[in-house]
Amino acid sequence: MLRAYLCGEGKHDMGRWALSRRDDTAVGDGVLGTLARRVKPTGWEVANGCQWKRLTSLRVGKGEPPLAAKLRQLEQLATDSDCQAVLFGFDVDNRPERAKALADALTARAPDGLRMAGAAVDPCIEGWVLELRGERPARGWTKAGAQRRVAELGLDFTAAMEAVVADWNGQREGLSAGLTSWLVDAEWALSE
Amino acid sequence: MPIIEQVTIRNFGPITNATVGLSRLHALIGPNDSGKSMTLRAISHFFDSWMHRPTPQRLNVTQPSLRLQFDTGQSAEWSCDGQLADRFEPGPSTDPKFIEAFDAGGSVLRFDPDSLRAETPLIEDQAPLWFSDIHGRGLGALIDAIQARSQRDRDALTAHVRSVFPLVDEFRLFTKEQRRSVGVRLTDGTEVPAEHMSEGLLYFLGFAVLRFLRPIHFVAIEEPENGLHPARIAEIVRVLRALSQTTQVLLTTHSPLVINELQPHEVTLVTRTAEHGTTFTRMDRTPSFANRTTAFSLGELWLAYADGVSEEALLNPARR
Repeated sequence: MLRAYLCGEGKHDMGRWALSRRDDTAVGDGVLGTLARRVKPTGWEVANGCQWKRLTSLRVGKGEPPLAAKLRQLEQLATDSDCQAVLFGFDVDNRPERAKALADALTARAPDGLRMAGAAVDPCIEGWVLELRGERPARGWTKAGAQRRVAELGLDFTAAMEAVVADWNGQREGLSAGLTSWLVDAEWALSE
Repeated sequence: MPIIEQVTIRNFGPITNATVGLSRLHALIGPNDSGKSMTLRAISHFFDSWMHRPTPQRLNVTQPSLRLQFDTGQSAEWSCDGQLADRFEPGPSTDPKFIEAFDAGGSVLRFDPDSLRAETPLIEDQAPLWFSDIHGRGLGALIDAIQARSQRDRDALTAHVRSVFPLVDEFRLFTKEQRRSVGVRLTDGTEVPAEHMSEGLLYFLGFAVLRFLRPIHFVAIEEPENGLHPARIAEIVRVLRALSQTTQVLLTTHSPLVINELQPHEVTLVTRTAEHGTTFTRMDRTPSFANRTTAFSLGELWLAYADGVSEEALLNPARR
């Protein structure tokens, strides 16, 4: 059984892995975990996870860019948990420079590192949920717009978002480039 | 100066029987209520007892004992029969001549801004320089005495403060009925009395004067990061590292920024369980330390793995 490490911004992204051990009220693996299950249904499990905010660079200005440092930290945490793959999403929040920073950090990774499926989530996980329902404005969602729309639909809680992913028809046509590449990477990262 | 290399503490609050290794400059980190402060108190109690000083806080402990191992190879043991009184008794293995080395004494410092601001009596000529209490009372009188006794020290202290607080021009000491309080004059001529000084500046001054005071053997400092801007913390650790050349410095801290400025062998994780009481684990002896520090600095490692309760992830080996 392949072991995967999950990293995201919060509970909607990663379900129970965003919570502390003492508040284990969620049971699912969030949008990212459920999405990965859609492209690779069996042969793997989420073994551990952490939120981005737990990865803290205290050496800003003293070496490598903070995001590259965080990716190395993420890889070390996954290795500690005996994981062979990492699945993560990183909110862009309508700031293109965050997507560029992530792309640079991923490019700078050591080639022999863990398999990593990671993408800039534009603008946030609610945007991906709406995309999977077939809702995507021509110019994409703003963060506030996506969150407002999800609330209007009564989908602003983790289990509802996971259900949207589970009900997705599997068609990738029309999905954003970020989401599409994440699905491809996740399938590769979780393959035997 | 012999350095305390190892301390074994028995029956001090949560510490039933535990040994901690120390360096010249050393920090204890760990969850609240794990025994960090009690460790400081146990060691400082030894110095208080040796110096015949009354214990600042009477501790409700029974049959405590303390064994200090020094880098010279010598050791000293103290124990107390019954409730802890004002004095430890040297154990039979302790060489009395060796103990004389500790006449320089030791102290605990836990600065608070109100004490640092307080007016205190002038210090007599030739009197040894140290704070009036563990909270930093007497700062104004100390700066007054440092300035009066040595022009070189006066200039060095002023230059140090200016380098970190560029708006400060010089000290301005305020006197009221033979009592001194600290103040500063700013570069624009404004005079700032103690009651209007920032807490960060007061804390910084508390640390900055240490190297000009009576040399002591050991100083224990609780949470030196208090009140300081994150960018100032590295400077405070530099001050303490310089001090550690003549005085052994033991810190407790909750700041990853403080331990980021230290070496792995200078940091010990303190944890506590109901079964074993307090235990000590040096950071560089935690599992997978070498691998983990390829990705994390010391402070980052603590933040990423610690949970504030058992620090289990930091103390348990990685799964693979």
